[in-house]
Amino acid sequence: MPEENGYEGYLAIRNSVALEEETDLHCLLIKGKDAFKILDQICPCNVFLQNGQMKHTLLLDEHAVPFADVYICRKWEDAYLLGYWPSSINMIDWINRHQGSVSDYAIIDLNESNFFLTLNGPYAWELCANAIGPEILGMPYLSIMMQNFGMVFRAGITGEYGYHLMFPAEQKKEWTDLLLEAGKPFDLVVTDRTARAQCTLENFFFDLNREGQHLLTPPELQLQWRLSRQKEKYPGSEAMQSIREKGWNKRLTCFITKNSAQVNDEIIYEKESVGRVISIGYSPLRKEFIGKALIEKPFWHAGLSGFHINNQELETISAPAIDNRSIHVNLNLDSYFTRNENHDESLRQ
Amino acid sequence: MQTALKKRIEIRESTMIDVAEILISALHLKFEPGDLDPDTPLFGSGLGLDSVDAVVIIVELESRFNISISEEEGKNALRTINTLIDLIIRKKYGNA
Amino acid sequence: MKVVVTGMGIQCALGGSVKEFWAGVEQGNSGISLIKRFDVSPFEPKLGGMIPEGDSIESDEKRLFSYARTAAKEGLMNAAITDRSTVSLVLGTSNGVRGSKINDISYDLAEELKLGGLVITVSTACTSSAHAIGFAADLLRRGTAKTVIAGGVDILTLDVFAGFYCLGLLSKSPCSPFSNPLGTTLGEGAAFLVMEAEETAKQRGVQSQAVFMGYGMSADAYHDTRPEPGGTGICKAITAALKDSNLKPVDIDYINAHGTGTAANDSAEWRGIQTALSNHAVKIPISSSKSFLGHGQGAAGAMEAITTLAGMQHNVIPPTLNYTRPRPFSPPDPVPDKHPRPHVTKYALCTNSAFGGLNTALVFGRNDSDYKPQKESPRPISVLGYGINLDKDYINNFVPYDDLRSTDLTAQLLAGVVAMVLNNAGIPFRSNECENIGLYVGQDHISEDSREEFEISIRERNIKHLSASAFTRLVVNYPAGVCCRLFGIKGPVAVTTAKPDSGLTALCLAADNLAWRDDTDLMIVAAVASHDPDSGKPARAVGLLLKAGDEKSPVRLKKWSMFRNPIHKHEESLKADGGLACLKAGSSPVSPDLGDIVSAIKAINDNTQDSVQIKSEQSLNNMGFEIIIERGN
Repeated sequence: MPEENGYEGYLAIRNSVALEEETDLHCLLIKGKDAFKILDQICPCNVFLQNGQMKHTLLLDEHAVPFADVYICRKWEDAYLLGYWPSSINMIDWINRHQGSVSDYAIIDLNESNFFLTLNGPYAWELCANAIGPEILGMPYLSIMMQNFGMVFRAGITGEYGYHLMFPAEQKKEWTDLLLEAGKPFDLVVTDRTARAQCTLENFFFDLNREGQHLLTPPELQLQWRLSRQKEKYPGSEAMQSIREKGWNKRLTCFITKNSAQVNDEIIYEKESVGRVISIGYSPLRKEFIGKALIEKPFWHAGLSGFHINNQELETISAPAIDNRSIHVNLNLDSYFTRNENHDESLRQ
Repeated sequence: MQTALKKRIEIRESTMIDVAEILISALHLKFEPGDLDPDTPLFGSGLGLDSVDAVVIIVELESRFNISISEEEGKNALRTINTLIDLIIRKKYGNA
Repeated sequence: MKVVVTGMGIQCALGGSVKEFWAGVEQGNSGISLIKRFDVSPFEPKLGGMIPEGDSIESDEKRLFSYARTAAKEGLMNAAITDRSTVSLVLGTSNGVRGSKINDISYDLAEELKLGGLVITVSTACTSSAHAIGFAADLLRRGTAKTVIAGGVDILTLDVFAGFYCLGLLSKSPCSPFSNPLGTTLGEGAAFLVMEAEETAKQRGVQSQAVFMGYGMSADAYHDTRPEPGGTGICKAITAALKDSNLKPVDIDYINAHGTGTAANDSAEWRGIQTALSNHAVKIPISSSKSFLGHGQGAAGAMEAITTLAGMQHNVIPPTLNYTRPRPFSPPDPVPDKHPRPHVTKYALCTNSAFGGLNTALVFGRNDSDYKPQKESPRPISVLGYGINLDKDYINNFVPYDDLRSTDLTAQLLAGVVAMVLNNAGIPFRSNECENIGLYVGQDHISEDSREEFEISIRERNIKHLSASAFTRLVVNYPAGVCCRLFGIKGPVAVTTAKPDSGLTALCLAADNLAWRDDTDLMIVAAVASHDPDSGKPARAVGLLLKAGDEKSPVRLKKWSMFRNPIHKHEESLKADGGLACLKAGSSPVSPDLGDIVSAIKAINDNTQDSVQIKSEQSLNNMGFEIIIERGN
């Protein structure tokens, strides 16, 4: 059993606020009359966004396997593509290859002149309001806001409040220092992607570096919600169509077990292999291991037990595996500074 | 396969079908039942539902499954389709 | 023209006259009490800002009428109006009595009080009566009306109470805006202002009580029930109101906020106020009268205007009752007192927001305030395009289904026609250009399918398990709100309702707005009806796109005017001049509507006419219109 220390970053995301410099977060700005037309060519979802709105989707290869985990965003008539994809992919080239008859657009790589700091945690909103301004509080989940320094994207894949802040590269030190200083009263912890990855695992968010490495399709990843059923043509649409026709017989399911295991370890039911581990990590909050396994039909349901992994018991559970604190934090009542006071439920709406 | 597990799987599957059907019809979702993966988030991302939908879901589940869902239970279960299924199974079949 | 307030009348939970009401406010009384009128036993809380006298009235219709009559009579009396033949009525109402009877109250009231002027009903949920007051000022400023009694009325019914309960919007104790607990308390009442030109008041020898400085309105284009959390909509309405009033943020020294007490409203509203008034916002006392009146729904705007004006007259500002501790990031001075606070207010701002995402802001000044019109002369108005939509599925060609998930027939028809006129004009949906477009809709009832869904849900389940989704569609401005959201329309948006609504009132008000105000250069005017048992017309929506200041346009709106003939002369008035008969093939004669304006535009486009005059009177309410469409230069 792992020790209960060494999880400061994770606990900050779950209980207060964590700051991470996200070097793997990419952002492209698409300008021009056809900005949303080109977005429509490449995305498997409807791109008719409201001003300021973000939407979580995937970019698929010809086998309908996601190679990029992205948000599409609208600010006025500009489109933004924010998200994670391997640095080995030249995304602008890939987009241009799918332009078809669409031509009036220009793509600007915002990573060239900007950097990203991300704040995650149940009180990230409060720190942001103090450090940047109370207008941050008016941002609904999945929205973007222009600021004089750059942009704020409210998203997050940890199940807690999450803000991706985009700053000009030359102001890196200034903003990092400012947020660290503003974060002191919030017990801010600087984290890396390991802490974030554990949180995304617990909340069943997709991680390109983890389950993204196994050539799984959206139904197997339980990510059909990132696609629009009505959309007919997009990269990977033919493969997707064929998957829907043929069906699929395994999918990722969340599981818990008391002992550690390795990726690709087999999950056994009555001596038969019914699946394998795709990702696993220790959950300091649950004090057990949580993972995602690719499990065969009909064992692929949550809420089942009787499985074994390396002779240890394993059961499947519903995602998310955590009752996130952010769900219970009310911006109109709560504050990090009163978090330990008794909460009078009668005050809530 | 042991009967107990078989039974659990059957309950899980039939509840999933019912919940998917309720969500699609009551919320006018433009999805086929097969498009709704059980761990799909309901709010924010995922199905992108809102507070009005939350009320509709609880009322529909109560009347279809003939169960009573408290505010607290509703709030905890309104995370994913799977957490709704957990709640219904707990209410209808206990923890067995 | 300087518009002044010369009379006020109110009936609310604190009393049946301005005097009684204000005495209650001064004593620190709250009108919020346990509801006895209908069975609230399944619910917790059981509170409402109820009018005790209302409990003994037998029906909703009579109760609504009784409140309106009491308040309107007091207003007329207070303004010492002797000749009612030229008094117009602009009445805002929303939830009181559902269905096709929404506008009956206005006609009944005009008849009872023998008002001979225009009768206009505005129904924009909780901004209804604030819109009514704004439109009344426009009618006066343009000379369309001589004296107007403007305000609103609503009653609290079990349906509305249960709907708010199901949406989780009710506070566990009397609502406590900007403080705790979260949630609102509903109320009811009627309130009217008598408004007229300063000159008229002088001629009548009547003392003015306040100056109506200006108003502004906007749409959030965000959600059916929740405000845009950043408060951009409310900010836009305030900015427009300041512009109309020719004032700056520093001139405002009191704000009577919508302040419902819900988490969503109060935080968004305060953010909107802060954006609109910048650094000055934190220096202004902001209170919410809902803490002692409850949320008067469609009447809230007028009730709160009277609260504000009564305070100004007494050199005090009304408090926010029930204030315990501040919510994080809330107004620093919410007047958290038990009694009114001494404070000299020169200019007061009243804000309101509604389901469907509509916002209004009204500005009142003391008697010595100056008024400067936005424009000295009207801008020319052209007609850029039109559309007629009979197909509920037409809209699905343009917007993805997930944007129109739970909706109704009226909203689908209206959205279809708005899509048509925007497409015809080459304006991309949700573009920057849409941000300022206005939308005025004429619609006489809520969509029948939503009403049925709501009623069936109560019948088949019970009141506590009603359809929350259908409930949110039971405001007349729901379809307009859907259009705002779908197309990103955020300019001035309002809904008028006549019976049947021809859209011509909306057309005249929209043309006035474009000609005389700076709110927007583009305005969509539409009429929509999901069913029309009287005329037998199919469900349809008709829309026009108007543009101001375009000298080169081929089709011009040359004249628009409203009048009311107090004597019934149906047969004569039903004939249209200018060669365009209102006799539709195979049907009986009907009053002209926006469809006839479309025919007129087609005739001009086809070179069969150079100018078309449409002049007629609506048979049911004697409202008359004269519209002239002509070829441009």
